Amino acid sequence: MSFFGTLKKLASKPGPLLGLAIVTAFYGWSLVEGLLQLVGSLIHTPSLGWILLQSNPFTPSLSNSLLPPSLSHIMGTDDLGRDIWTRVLYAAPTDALVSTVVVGGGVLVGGLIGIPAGYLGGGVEEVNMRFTDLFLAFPALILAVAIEATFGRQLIYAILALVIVWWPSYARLFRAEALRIRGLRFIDAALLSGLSNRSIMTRHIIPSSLNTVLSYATLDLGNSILVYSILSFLGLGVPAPAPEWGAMTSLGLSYFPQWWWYSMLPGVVITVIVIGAALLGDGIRDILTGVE
Amino acid sequence: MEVLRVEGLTVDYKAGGGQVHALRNVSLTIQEGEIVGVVGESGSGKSTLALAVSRLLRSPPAIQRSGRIVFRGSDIAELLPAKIDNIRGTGIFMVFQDPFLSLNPLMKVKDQIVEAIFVRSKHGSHHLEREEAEREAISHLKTVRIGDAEDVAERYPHQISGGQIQRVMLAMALAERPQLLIADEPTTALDVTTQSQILATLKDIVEETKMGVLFVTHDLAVAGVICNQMAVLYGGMVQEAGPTSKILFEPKHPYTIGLIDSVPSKTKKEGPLTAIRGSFNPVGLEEICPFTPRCPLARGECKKGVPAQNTVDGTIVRCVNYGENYES
Repeated sequence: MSFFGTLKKLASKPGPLLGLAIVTAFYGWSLVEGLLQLVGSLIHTPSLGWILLQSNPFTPSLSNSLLPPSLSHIMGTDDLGRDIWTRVLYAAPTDALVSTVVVGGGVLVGGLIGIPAGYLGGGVEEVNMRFTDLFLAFPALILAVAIEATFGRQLIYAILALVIVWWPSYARLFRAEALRIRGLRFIDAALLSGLSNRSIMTRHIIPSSLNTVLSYATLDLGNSILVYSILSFLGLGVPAPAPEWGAMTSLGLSYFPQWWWYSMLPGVVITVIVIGAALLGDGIRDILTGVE
Repeated sequence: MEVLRVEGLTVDYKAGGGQVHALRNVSLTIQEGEIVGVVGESGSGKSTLALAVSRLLRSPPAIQRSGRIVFRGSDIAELLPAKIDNIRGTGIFMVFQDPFLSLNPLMKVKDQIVEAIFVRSKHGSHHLEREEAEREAISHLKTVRIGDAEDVAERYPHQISGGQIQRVMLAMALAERPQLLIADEPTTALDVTTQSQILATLKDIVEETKMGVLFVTHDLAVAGVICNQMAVLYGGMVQEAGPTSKILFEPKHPYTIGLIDSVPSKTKKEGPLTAIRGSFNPVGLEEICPFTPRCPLARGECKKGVPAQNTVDGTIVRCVNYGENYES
C-alpha cells in the first residue's frame, strides 16, 4: 500500500486520526523549534530558540512566580515565574530527538543482532540471543546512572544508556520475525535460486519483518519518552536550567498539591504524547494486519 | 546424459525420542530432458525425497542415514555449504506445491524474476544491465504463456492467480536455466483446466531446455500425462519403477494395481470405484513389506522381511510375488 493510502486509512478512524494529529504536531513542532535552537546556538544567538515563543523560557520573573493557569499563562508559571507552556514547547525537540534516536537505535542494533539469529539459527542464534539476554538483564535506570556518573551528565550519554537497554526487545522481535519468515516457501525458493544468505536477509527477511517492527516501534516512541522523562525526573536528563518535561514534573512535585499545575501539566503533556503514539501505533498495526 | 542419480538413499526423521523411516533405500536416475514422476500417497516420503535432493531438508529432525545423491557427478551430501550455493539456481530449481507461498508477497513479479536472472549472470561471465534483465524476464513470462506479460510483471503475487504464479515459477526456472527442476505437486492447488495448461507448458519447456525433472505427485493421472519414467513410493520405499506406459498398463505391484484401480476411467463404467483398504501407518512395519496390512495378496512370506527389488520385464518391483528375495 502506498504511503498516502495508509495515511488516508489512518485518518478515517477517530482514534488513529487523533494519534496521527498528536504525533505529527509533536514532531512538526519539534523539527521547527529544534532547528531554530540549533541555528541559534551555532550563530551564538540563543534568543533565536524562543523567537516563536511568547517569552524567554530561561528568564526568571519572581513577581510572577507560581501563578495558576490563566489566559496569559495557559499552564501557569513555575517557582521562578517562568511560563510553563513556553518551557514545555522549548523542551519538545529534546524529547523528540531522544525518542527517535533511542527507538531508531534499538531497531538498528536489534535488527543486526536478531535477524541473523533468527534466520541462520544454530551457533549464531545461541551467541546472539545469549548476548541479548545479558543486556536484557541490565536494569535501565541503574545503567543510566552508572554511565552518566562515569562520563558526565550529557544528553548523548543519556541516549546511549537508553539505547543499550532498548535494543534487546527489538533483537527478540526481529529474531521471532526472521524465524517465522524463514519457514515460508518463498525463502526456500530464493535459496534455490542461489541467493546468498546475506541477500536473503536484506532483500527478503528485513522487508517482510518491517510491518511488525514498525507498529511496535510507533507504540514504543511513547515509552521511550516516558523512560527518558523518568531519567530526567531522577535528575539524570539535561542539566538545569534547560527545561525538560520529566524534570519539570519532578521539580514541580515539591509544590504539589497547592501549586498543582507546576507538576501536573507537564505530566499531562507527556501522557498525551504517549497516548498519541500508542493510538497511532495501534492504527498502523490494524492496517498492516488487515484488521478493518 | 545423466543429470541426477539417487543411490540407496535412506532418510530418518527424529520424532518424540523415536525415529521414523521417511525414505528407505531409494534409488532413481534422471536423464537430460526426462521427466521422472515420483508417485505416492501422503506419508510415502515423496516430498522428503524432493527436499533431500534440493538440500532443503532441515536437519534436525531429518537425518540422512545412508546413500548418495549424485548431481553433475558429485555427491551433493558431501558438498560444503559454499558449494551448495553453486548447485542452487543454475543447478537445481524447485517449483512448490502451494503457489501462494512461493513468491515474496512484498516484491513485484518482475523483480523476483530479475533477481533470479542476476543470480545466474553472476555465475557466468556476461554482465547484465537491469533493463536487459527486465526484458529477459518479460520474454520468459511470454514463454510460459502468460498472456499480458508486461502487465503481470508489474503486479504483486496477491494480484495474480495461483495458475499464473506457477507459471511465474516456471519462468524463474527458465531464467535460472537449471539442469534439474524439482516440481513438488505443482498443480495440486490448481483447478483441472489450469493444471493441464501448466503441464503442457512444463513439457514444452523441458523439450526446449533439456533439463531433467523430478515430478512429485499423488495423482497417477497427472504423472501418466507428463512423465517418461515413474517410481511408485510406499512406506518410504520404491515399490515399482519403470517406464510410464509399463507402470500404467502392466502394473505388477499390488499397491500400483490398487492405485490404478482407484482412478476413475472412461472404459470402466460399472460397479463402485475400488479403493485400497485401510490407511498407511508406519508403526511395526520396519521388518516386513510395509504394504502387508493393506495388501489383498498378503501372505506369510510378506512378513519374512523387507522384499528386495527384482527386475521383471523392464520394471523394478519390490514384492515377494515376483521372487522371494529379502533385503538383509
